[in-house]
Amino acid sequence: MDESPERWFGVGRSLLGDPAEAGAAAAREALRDRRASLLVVFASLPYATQAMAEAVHGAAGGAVPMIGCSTAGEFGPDGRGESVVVLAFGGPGFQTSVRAVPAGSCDLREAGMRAAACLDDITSEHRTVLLLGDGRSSDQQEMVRGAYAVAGAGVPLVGACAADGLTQTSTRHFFSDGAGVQVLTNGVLAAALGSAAPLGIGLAHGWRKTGEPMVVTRSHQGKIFELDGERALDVYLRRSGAAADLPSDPGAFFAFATVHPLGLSRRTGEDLRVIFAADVADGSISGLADTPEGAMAWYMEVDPEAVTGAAAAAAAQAVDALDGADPLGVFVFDCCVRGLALGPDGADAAGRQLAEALAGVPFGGFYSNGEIVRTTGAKGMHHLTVAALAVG
Amino acid sequence: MGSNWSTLQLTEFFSAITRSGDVPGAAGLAVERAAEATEAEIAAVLAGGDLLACLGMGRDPRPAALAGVAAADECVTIAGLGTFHSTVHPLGDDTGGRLVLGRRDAAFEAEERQMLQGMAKVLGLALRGLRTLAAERDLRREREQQAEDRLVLVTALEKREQLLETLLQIQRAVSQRAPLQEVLDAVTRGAGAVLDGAPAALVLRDADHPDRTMVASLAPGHEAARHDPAVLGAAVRAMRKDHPVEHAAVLATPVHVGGDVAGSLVLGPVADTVRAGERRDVLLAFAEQASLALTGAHSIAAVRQAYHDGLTGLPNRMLFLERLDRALEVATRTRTRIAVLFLDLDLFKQVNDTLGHATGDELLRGVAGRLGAAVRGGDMAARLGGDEFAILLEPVADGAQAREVAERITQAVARPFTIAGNQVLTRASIGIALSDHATASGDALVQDADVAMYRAKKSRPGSCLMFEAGMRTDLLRHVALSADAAGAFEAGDFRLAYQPIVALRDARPVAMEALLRWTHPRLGEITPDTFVPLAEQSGLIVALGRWALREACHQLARWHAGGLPELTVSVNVSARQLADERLAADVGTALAEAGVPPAALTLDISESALTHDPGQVLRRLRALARTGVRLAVDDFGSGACPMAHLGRLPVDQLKIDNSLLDGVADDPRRLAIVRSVLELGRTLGLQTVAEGVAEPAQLAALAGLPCELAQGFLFAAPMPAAEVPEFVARPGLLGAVR
Repeated sequence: MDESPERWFGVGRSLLGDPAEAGAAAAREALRDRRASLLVVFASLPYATQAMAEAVHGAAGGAVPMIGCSTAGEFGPDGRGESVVVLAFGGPGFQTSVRAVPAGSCDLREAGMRAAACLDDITSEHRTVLLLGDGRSSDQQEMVRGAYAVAGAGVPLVGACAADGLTQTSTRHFFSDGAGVQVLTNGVLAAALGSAAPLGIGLAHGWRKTGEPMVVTRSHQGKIFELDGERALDVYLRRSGAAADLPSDPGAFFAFATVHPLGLSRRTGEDLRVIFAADVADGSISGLADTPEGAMAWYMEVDPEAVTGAAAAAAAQAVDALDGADPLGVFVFDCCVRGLALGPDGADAAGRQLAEALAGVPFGGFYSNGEIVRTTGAKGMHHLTVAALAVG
Repeated sequence: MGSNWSTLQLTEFFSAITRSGDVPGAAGLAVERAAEATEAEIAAVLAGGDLLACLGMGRDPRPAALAGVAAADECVTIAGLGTFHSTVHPLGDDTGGRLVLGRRDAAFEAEERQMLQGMAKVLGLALRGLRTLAAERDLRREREQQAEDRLVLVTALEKREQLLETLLQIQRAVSQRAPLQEVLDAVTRGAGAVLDGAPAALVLRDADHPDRTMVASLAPGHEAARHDPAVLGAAVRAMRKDHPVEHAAVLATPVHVGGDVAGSLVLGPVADTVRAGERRDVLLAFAEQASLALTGAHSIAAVRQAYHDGLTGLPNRMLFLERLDRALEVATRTRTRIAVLFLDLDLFKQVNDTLGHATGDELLRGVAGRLGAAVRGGDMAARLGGDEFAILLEPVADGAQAREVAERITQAVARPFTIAGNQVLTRASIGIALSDHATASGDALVQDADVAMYRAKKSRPGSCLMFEAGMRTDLLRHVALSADAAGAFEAGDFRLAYQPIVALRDARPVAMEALLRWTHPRLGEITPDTFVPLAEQSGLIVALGRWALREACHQLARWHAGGLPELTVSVNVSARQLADERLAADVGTALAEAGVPPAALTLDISESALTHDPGQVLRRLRALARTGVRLAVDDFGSGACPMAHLGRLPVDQLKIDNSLLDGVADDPRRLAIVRSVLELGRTLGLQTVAEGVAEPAQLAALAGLPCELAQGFLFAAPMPAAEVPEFVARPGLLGAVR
């Protein structure tokens, strides 16, 4: 492992059958014998093992900070699917510091605060906190609120929540502060990045509001009982054009509703709410995050081209935010539900557009259970979006 | 649309704050929710120089960074973080606490400030209760206080619970969009109940008469307060000052809608058990509730109104264009096509004029209903205004498909409507515009469809026509010329030329026909055939005709005074002028001003103008005849006016249309027609004039016929007024032309 005289960013991906071998191969491809400032590893559930995490860390020469998590699939310049993807960067001018907060050690807000405390170790001009939350835990916004309380308005937050391949089981996080490798279940990780060059962040989705606005007239947390004073389920089925008997098959409703979200009206755009369940008895629909009473909401329709192009759009935004600096590489976090909306061909097209937009710049990422971007305002948790972090 | 979020989103905040068990917890939640609701980066609660809670300034915030921020400041600069737009809201508690927010990208709007004001007031009340609770805990620890003191505290705590619970209920009613009156009644009832049954009244400014007030709600059992001068006086003073006022134990505080004073919440004398400070805080908190309820109702209504036509319930122009732009964007990207149908109702004005506006409105609603049934699922019908509708077809395969929908609509609209027992008929003229890769905007597509509709309406009302590029050029020229004509009239650029009318008997010029002339600065001479229809359409013809009438009369007076006392003048009157009930009065005025006898003026009314609304025409002609002027039927023989009709009209002269003279010299049959028309005139006792005599052969043909007068280029082209005396004086006119 050599100290590289130049700043670099590498991506490696392996489909080898053995998790440890795949991890080692992906790490070697990303590192190419260079000493990394940070290792970031994403692995599908079959690969998300202690052996894989140790192999990645070992292949990087040990004594390197590492974060990572399980996913609903990974992708890189050469494709997507179940694999191990390793992203690494190093060279002069980088600072990194990492933290892990195990599940159950504190509430989610406190977990966000403890994780983001890694920022204390960073003094660089350009800073950000890369968060890997847990898509299986309850309201991840709480975790992001905690991180924001520590980072403040001066430091952007970016990242995503770990996924479990849509198995609804549990997620894994891979962590090393340099010494030893841990695999955590449903934890929260953070890496504070400092750089002498700018770091850019982007966010895009591709749904668009349609029809008239509705007011959420009765709701409790993520459950919406009434829209415009009418049973929310009735309004939702009517607006989305879904069959009246769709809710009688929860599986079919889930498949349909996850890609037909509601958008809450925000000053600077829409805040998407994934709907995943319906209750015929009380006429409610349930979303993944809180939907306050009195909120103004729109039914959102898919703009197929914009949804396909969202990953490319987010990456391009992130690169644009580098203030003219050349991108070394880009982290991309793409909501796993988008894949359902796009279908396999759409997902392939999205990947091609992303590669075209980045024109040879290395990139990698995973299909996530919630995306994190806080650059303006105080909220940072997003759904059905693509988040990107460009390293300059 | 302006604000995209609503002030109704406060229930969550209220319920979170009131559930919170301690001061730091409540303040922490407050800054977080306030920041998230307004997308602010910075939020803090300051009390007596301390930061009770802070968000966005990291883990080690410095109170000093915000301590100096005053309500009047619009920006705050925080070291290391930059400059933020700021807004400051007093909590209204004893500590002088404030809720402060900072946002990087935009200043806070009035509605946002109002919501934050509401949050601040509730937070203030919650913090006061929590401090009382903390004090009680301290007292318990000390175990030294007397039972009576405890009782006071327990009562205070119960009140705090009651107060916050009441506010939460009201906020819930607001966000669930309970009827406004219910919410306002809950405000006065709640304020009265929390303050031991004090009389509370909500006084609002009358929206239509800002100098008047009305009592919108009263706490139950205090009906007398409705007319109490002390209550109303305090209400008006608080509104005027935009600040709480207190006078003779009556306290009033202003209520706002979107930042503007809209009324006051007034509280009458209260029981001695309530402390003065508490009374004021409670009133302020309830006043904020009333403000939020009114603003919420206002903003929701505004959102709906902004996107819909109130009469038909259809989407309005704004929503239509928004959706159209989006559809166009998708169509361009996916290389598909969309179509816009522009629909205008024929005969709508007549329905409104003859059957009344209520029927007109009902007809529009009926048409809207049929549009909905005639379009395809997913297409959007909108009312653009007046009797104009637009339909977005998204997507369409080709023009034929769009035409199919358009024809279905024209058929649906053509079926009779039954309104209030009457059968009402109308027709829809529809223009169709199809997008292509070059379509610049939704607006442009609507304009194209509009142009095509205009063409359809002109050529065959009740039909559909597909837009073609040439139509736009024609219309643009037409529209530009119409505007230019109005400008030219204002600038006095129209003039009159005079063409002699000659007595065939002795070749003597007996009259001059006044003809409008317009020289366009760029296009040169514009013929009356072009500009008169434009002026008819725009209505300019009425003013232009009135001017021509006065000008011709004044000119006639000058000729009379200049030695031509026998000369008369003919002036054209358009159909539109004839419909104007002031025409007879205008004629009288023109004659009186010029001082010429009525019999020296002949009004030429075209045969076609006589066929519109025969009853009205007859009344107008009789009124004109009573002024003593002579009336001529112009262009007679063009076929518009039935012969039988002619006998009933009080006219003096028949001007034979020049088309009848074509070929009259060579074709015996044509000559026979002219002869019969002239004989008809003589039978009816009318003077006859042959128009458009251009050749000696035509003149020769007329010689044996009962025609008294003639006019045409053979005698003279229209000439400036100044040349007329010389022309009249010239001898041997007929000899010269024979």
